[in-house]
Amino acid sequence: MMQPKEWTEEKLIEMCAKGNGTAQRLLYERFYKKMYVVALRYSKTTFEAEDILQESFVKIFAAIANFKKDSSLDYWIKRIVINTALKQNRRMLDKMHMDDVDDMVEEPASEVFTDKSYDFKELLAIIQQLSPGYQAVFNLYAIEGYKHNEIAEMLGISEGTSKSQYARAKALIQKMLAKDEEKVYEKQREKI
Amino acid sequence: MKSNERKFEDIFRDAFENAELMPSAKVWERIEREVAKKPRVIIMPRLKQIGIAAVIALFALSTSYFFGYRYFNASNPVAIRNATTQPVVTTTPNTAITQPQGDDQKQAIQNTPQTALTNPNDLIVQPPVAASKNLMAGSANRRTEIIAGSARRNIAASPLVDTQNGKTDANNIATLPLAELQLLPVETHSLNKAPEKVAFVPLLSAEDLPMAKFEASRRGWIGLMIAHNQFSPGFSRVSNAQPTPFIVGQYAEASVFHNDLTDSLFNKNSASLQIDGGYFISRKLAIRSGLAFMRNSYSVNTSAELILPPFLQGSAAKPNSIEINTQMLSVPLQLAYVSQGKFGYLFSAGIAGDFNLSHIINSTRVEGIQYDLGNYKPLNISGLAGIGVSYNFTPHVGIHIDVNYRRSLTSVYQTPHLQAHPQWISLGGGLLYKF
Repeated sequence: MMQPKEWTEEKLIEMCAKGNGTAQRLLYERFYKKMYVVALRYSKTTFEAEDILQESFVKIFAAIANFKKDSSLDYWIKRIVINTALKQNRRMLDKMHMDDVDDMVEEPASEVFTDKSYDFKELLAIIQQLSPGYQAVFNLYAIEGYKHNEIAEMLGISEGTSKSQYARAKALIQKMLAKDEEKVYEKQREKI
Repeated sequence: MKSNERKFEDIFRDAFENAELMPSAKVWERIEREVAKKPRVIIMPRLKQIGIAAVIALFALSTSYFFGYRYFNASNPVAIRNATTQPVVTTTPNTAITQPQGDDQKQAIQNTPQTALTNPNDLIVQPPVAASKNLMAGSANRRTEIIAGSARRNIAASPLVDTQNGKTDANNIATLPLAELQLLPVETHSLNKAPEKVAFVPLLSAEDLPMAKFEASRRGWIGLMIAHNQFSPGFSRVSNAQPTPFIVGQYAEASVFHNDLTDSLFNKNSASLQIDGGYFISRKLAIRSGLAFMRNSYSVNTSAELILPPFLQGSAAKPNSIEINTQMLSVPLQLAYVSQGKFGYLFSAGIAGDFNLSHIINSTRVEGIQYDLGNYKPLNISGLAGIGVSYNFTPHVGIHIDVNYRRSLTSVYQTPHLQAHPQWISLGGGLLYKF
């Protein structure tokens, strides 16, 4: 007889749908680290992220019987985590001032991007410093790959607002990255 | 600039592609607790709701029973319908009755207006074997309508007309108070000297009378009915904020969602199965109650674009469709005006307690979206009214068809921005047993 750890994804889904605790634990263990990072990207603190992770997996176990195989399980779970995170942040998003693209004062974008690769923890720390609106739009556009009209629908804002939020978020991140680069450069000069 | 953007985004995508971090171990413990809680959350309210429904139904029926009992033992006019028993009617015990001694005396007694029970022919006067199928016409019919109360008061003056040798004359039908027939103790009379001369007063059962035949079953009814419901969820918008805190990213404004719920709504098959019961509290009025299981279903085509990544945009061209299924137990409590006969009709109106059993929203084309119209209240009160007709095959069995309209008196969803007052017209029918 096949051991639970040898279960295929299909078998795992089937057993989770039946409410099997072992299967639920295995499914959680398969995805929780990755999904925790997704939750962290949409939150400010680890507490918020853990709440999102918890609520997401409760929903996943409740709805997994309806999972159809026309998308990957990874993608389906990620969608639920993102939706849960946006739902939790909705109050903040509603209160937030959203600039439209017409209100924007053009800020010169820094040209500091090189082939340097960043550790995700550095980038995560920068994303978490953004306001909730910038954070949501930036994550959805730059990392998840949604278009501005899709983001507008998701967040209940206009497409122009999504564009302006993204532009501002990008400018802020560029500044922060530039500062980091300067610090590294100065440290290197001091060593020399 | 464009290539710069690409580069900028790639930095993040690459960095986060396989990023993993370990959350606190408490997260799983909390998930386990939440998941373990779920069945209780679902099942307990259902048991509670079914219990409450049963208690209300029992209360309604038992209350009606007492109303009905009072009716049958009070001074309301009823038709004789005792069909099987043979109670012996006696005079009051210890009351001496003078026996006529000679023919003259007997004649005198017969010519005298009688104010007391007499036994002019040395007969045991018994009420009757109800198996008699003698049909009485004209005044006889009218006379068999006995008013129990007044009959009880006038018992001393009610003549027990001699019916010799079992012959029955329409003018000589003894009118007996039903209550006395049923309640007096069965005793043999001291006049029981000549049992061989027993004569029977033919008792008319209501079922012997053509006009009253279908009015005989007047205590109440119980039946099983099935109905098709033309259902409308009755959504209305309270504010233009997001309808609920949930439909993440699906709608920019509540108005869009509201329009979808009203303009792009499709009814599916909705039906109900009902145990229908009623007790008469007066000649024409009855308390109507029962227990109904209802399943209402509808779907909404959402106009919002789907949240899909670029590689799935092909399927995003189709509108998403959500299907909403609601199952409930309903306990109506109505006042009904009932006309009986071979063909009868009924008007009823009242309220109903609708106990939610399940409320499920399924997204039929896109997964991963958690649709939620807000918390569906476990108990909702509806107002309802209906009209029906019935055809009775026998005094006890008939079919009934009725049309009912009902509307929830309160919003079924607990959300500040969206209200729903479901309403539906049901057309149904079923078999009734009258007792």
